[in-house]
Amino acid sequence: MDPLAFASLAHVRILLLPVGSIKRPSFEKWASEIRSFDTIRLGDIPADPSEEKARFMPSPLATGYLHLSYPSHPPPTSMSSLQVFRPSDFPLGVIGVATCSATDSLSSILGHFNAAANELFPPGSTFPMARNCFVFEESDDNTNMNLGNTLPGLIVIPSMMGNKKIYVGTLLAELCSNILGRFATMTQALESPLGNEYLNATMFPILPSPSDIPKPIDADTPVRVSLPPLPSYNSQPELVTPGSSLRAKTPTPLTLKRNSSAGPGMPPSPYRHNSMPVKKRQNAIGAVSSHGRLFKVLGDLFLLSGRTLDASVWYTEAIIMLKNPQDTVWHASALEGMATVQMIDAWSATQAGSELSDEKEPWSEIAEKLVQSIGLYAKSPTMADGDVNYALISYLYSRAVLRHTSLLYSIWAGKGWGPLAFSIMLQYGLTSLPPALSSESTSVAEKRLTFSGLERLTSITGISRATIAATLTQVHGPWLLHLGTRDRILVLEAMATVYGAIGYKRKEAYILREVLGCVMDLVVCEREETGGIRTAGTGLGLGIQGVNLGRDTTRGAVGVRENDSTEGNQSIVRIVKYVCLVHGIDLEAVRLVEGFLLSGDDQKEPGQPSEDSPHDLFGWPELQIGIVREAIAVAEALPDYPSVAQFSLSALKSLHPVMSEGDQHHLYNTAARALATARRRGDSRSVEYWSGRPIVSMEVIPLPLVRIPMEKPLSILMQRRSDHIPILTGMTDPFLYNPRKLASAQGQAMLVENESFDIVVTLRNPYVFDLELSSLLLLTTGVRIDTQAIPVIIPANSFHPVTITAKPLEPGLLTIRGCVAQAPGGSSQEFVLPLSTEEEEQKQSRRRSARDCEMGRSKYTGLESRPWDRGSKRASGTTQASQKPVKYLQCKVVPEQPLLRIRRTSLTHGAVMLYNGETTTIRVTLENVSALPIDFLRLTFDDSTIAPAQQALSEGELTVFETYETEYSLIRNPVFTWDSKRNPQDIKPTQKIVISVNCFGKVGCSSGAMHISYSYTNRKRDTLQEPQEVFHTRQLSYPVLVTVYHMLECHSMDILPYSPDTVAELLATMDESEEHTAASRRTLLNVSDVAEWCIFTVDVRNTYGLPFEVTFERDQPDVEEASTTLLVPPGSIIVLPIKKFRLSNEHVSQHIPTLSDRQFVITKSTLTKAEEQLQRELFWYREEILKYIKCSWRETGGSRSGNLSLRQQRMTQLMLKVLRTEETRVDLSLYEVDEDRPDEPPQLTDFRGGRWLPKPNSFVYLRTKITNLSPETLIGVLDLSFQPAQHIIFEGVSSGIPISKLTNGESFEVEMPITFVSSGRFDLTSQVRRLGQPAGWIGHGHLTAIVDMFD
Amino acid sequence: MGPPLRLNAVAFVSAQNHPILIRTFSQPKQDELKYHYIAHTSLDVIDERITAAGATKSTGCYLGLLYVEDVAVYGFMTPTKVKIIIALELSDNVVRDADVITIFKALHTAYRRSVANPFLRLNVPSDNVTDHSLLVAAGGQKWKLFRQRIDEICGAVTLPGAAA
Repeated sequence: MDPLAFASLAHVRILLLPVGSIKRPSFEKWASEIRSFDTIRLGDIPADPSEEKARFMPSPLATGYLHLSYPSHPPPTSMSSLQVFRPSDFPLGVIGVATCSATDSLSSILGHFNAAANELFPPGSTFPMARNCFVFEESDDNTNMNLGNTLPGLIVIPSMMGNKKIYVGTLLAELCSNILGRFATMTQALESPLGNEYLNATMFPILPSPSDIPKPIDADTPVRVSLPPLPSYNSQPELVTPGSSLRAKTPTPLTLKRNSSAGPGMPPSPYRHNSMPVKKRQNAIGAVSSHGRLFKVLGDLFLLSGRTLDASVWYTEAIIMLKNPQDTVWHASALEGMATVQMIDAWSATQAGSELSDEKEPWSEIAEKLVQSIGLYAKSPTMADGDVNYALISYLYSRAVLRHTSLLYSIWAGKGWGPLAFSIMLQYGLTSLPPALSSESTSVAEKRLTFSGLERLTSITGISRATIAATLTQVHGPWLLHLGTRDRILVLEAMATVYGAIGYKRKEAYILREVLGCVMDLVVCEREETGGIRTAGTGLGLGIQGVNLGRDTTRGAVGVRENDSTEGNQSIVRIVKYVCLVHGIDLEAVRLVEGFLLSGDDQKEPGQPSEDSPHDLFGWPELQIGIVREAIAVAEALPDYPSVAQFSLSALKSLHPVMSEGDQHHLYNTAARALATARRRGDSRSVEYWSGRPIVSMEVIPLPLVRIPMEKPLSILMQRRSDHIPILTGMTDPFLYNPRKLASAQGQAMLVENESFDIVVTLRNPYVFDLELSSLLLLTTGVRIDTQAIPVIIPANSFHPVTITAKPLEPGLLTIRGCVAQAPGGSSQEFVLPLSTEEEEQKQSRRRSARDCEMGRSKYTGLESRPWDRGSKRASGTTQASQKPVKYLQCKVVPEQPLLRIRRTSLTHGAVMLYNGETTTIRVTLENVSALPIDFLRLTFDDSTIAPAQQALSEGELTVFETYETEYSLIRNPVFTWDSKRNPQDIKPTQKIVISVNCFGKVGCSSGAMHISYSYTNRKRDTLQEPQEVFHTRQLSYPVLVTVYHMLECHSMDILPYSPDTVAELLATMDESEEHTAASRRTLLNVSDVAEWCIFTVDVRNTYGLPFEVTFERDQPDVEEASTTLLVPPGSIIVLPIKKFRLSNEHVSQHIPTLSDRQFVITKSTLTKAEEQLQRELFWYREEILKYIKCSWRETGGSRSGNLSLRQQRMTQLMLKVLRTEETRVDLSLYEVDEDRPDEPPQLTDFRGGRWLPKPNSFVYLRTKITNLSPETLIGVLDLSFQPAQHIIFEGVSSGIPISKLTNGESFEVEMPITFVSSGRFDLTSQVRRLGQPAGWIGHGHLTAIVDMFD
Repeated sequence: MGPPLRLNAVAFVSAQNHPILIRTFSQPKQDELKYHYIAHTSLDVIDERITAAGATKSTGCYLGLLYVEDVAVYGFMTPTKVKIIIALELSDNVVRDADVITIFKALHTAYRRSVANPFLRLNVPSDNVTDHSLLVAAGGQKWKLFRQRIDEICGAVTLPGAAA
């Protein structure tokens, strides 16, 4: 069917022509109906009754076939001089295809048909030899039917006709019969001497016009008469004559005949006479010419008529005759004809079912003929007339080479010399792909055989692909330039197809480039022509349309810009893309999309190899860049602006690593310009976003501290636990590893409804120019947000952060999936950026290493290793990403929150200066700047002493006692305190309130901060649904710089027993100058019962420059208050009497408490039980004493005052002993009885200065009073001892004196008479011990007596 | 030694079909691109030859005459799959395969010696060093010696007698 089919010499061409208003699909339908007849059995062809026409008619029993082919275009006019030389190239018949419609009458259809046919074939040309118009009736309700059958040259095929195919076949046979009849006429013209002259006049003669033919040739003259008596002819008459005579005798008058046979007779008459331009040399050449050419023509015609035997006979004759006078071109052509004959014979043999010969290479003879003919063509003389010959000879040469190629290729593709190969040769040319190949391949897209498939064909047939290629290469040469563009395209196309089919893809691409060159030449020429001559109207160049645009004349003065015809552009673009693909450039790396639709890249895996790997370059950069330039030039010339942009951008994307800077700039600018033009011209296509993945990372900028909402469980509001706890433990999680906390911490930022937030998007530009994004938009799901696309320019070769602002419009969960980017003029593209999880990272790195590993391997070579082919084959491409749902950046949007700010504070520069122990008040003015009220306000504080203390606590190395002290300092003496009860909690919108915070000066504190948490908790709810478990607070922080001056320092705390010595000593240390102080101190020390008191002293030192007045107050239960005040300096020692006390055993034996609720406190002490008890006693007594004594200071001459802490002081065992009331109190006293009055009760002996003064040698009673002070019942004994014992006489026993059972508070008295027998000093002591415990006394009394004998 | 051959171009193509070096010696210097295309299109034929050679288990490196257009193109493939393609000017003299093989062997040696240059690795990032990129780098602009050697071979081929 193809013009370049191997057997094209034997094809009778019938041009199918759409006529009238036929629709394209229905034309296609009927045309394909007609085209299904590719052969017609000779026996089916109706004979013509007239004798003269019977010459080429087949005999009724002939077994051959007539081969038909149906081109859709007439041959170019440049070929017209080949009319005689190669009639098979011309349409011998024309069939008009029309449909019946209500608008067109049959006569108008016929008119159209004739007009079209006449336009295509200038009047006077030999071809077509027969024409007919088929009118297919498509619907039944046709009213024009009645006219139908009367018109000659028009056949109506009714729709109700059952077997149309057979009918059409009959009609075709009839047409063929007409054609064959005309062959005879043509031959007659040539056989005349004049005709022969014509034939030999030029290299490519034309048929003499009928007017030039001398009279003798009329219809009735038998053919034989005009023929010169040739021996060769005579030797074969029986072949011709019997057939024709037979035909003549058996006319088959058909009823349809009047319709069909009218064609050949009628049309030539009006036109043929008018013009026959070529007459020139008919007389110049001598009348005696060889008949070789004539015989060759006869051979051609017989070949066309399907009578191969006749053809081969005439060809043989012709070859013999043409050899001598070196008519190379005709000779070569005859050889070609012979080759075709042989092939047709072989085909007929297979059709008949006979066996093929078993020769090894049966085609070698054919091939040999073709090689010979190619050689002849190649050396054909070039002297003949004009330049036209070059074109024609080149054309013939190319055809011969292609024919040879076609032979080899068909055999190769048809798996040897067999039916398949024949049918390829008969029906398929080189420009269409035989079904044998396409059926083997599995996919439609890849119609090419695999490498092994190609090689298999070679080994089956013994024809190597190189042989085919070598044959084909002959056609490629400078002579192609002589060809007309149309033929050149045809030849190049055929070459490209063959190269492609045998797997020489690079060569194919190379040839395709030349095809493109030709096509583009035409396109450009056409544009220039239409630009210059507007009136031409009809499309020149490729599309030959017989449409006459009548409206052109009415155009007037209105400037009209014709739309560029874009027909065919797509095909050209496709070729360009294919060429680029072969060279390893994917011009569709950037896709074209319809409109500005948003396209997602969901199907794209985030880590595609091409995206993030260092680009594995393929191919030949020098060629690639050249090819890309060409491709762009082609697209620009078409013009197809979207494709220009697509090509430029694709090339940029895939080739930028090897491109020079200038090229990159150029391509980028070209693309930008093309896109702008395309949009201006209203092209709806645009390119997708092209520059890889521009987005590297995204990050939500956390809100400024004052705006961050913090989620708190609602239960906090319910239970008011002690607020101090968090300070101690520092809000540590009870769990060492808390997975929930970890999960929530990752990727969940808190945002607030109706408050804008910022997202930083990092963009990358790997190119050398500044990349412009016309818009960059956030891609989110979940909560609605209000954001605007922003234009961005990314500087060359850099990473560029961009901040996008957005505002969530409702509370909920906001998922930020990525960004939508749009390049100028392109369409937008989504880029999804999932959070990189550990697993995914791992997978990616594995894939990357796999890829790196494969980088240098060359298992797949050649074109199989193009990046896109390779990806699927390699192992790295097969490792799939996990199907786990990808995680995206998520933000939690909480309901609208109020906003508070600190309007002012009472501090200057946020700094506070304090003395140690001083307390000051800071006033903070808060203002609610939002429209929401605040109903929850809570302050927490932080200062620089907390962290070290917490650290020390958590290390757990402190003793119990130190722990207590640290905790006490943290909890009871914080730097900042705030009374939530006294300060207001509610702040209405735009209201201002003042809160006061107490600040306590603690040494070591250098800075602090107050954190004001606030919230709007009791919102109005729109629905009744359960409120959330959480509420959100915001925090306002205010840092305070704290300076604490350390000025007073207590040390050496001591507790002394009340003894005269100590008092005196204390009074002595007193500064004598301050008389009234001394006096007041003396009164202070004056206590009623010395034994019940002890003296508390502490040394206060002033390390500061200024003097301070220090006051110690005693506030002991059951004792009147007392205080002592001292100016430090100069004074330093504070003295204060304290009444002894005793704590109950239960009290003392308690554990030293921990103030915090810390758990898991393990007692690490290794103390013994007794030691532990002692420690506890010391602790509790100290606590008690600190409770009783309050100390404060005051600035002398100033208003500042504060407290002084005694907590650094330690208590010793000795001090405890003094402080604690004993268990029993033993009072010793002496009584004496007046000897003169013995009946009177005894009187107390003189007592002075702490000493008793009894009289010597008289009876004195020693009364020992034992009082049980302890809560327990006491059963004890009393021991008395006297010193010096030898000078005292006593009665009774001195030790083990029993005491009655004493309960708490009871007392018992023991009296013993004694006499001092000497003067001097006596010490009497008594000790109480528990019964049965010889050691360890529990009560002790002492008495000193001075006896003076000489009184 | 046969009649002098005219060497028009030499092309080295890596195993991955990247061009390593293309030197043209024909007189009009401007048609370098043409030889690029010749080298590129001859890869088609080389692919075929390699497969054919693989089928017959032949071990020779010489691929023979690839095709003839306006120049005769010969191919050669080293054991490391580096392809060497030369284009000889057409002449009426018989070109003996032995001569062509001699040329190829000389070219192969030149390439081998150039690749053996330890300084090739100098500027290649050490983590990503594959032999492949290295081999291509040998033809880079920087390494003049390779070109020199090729030019010498060409000179020797063109001037008869010197090649021996």
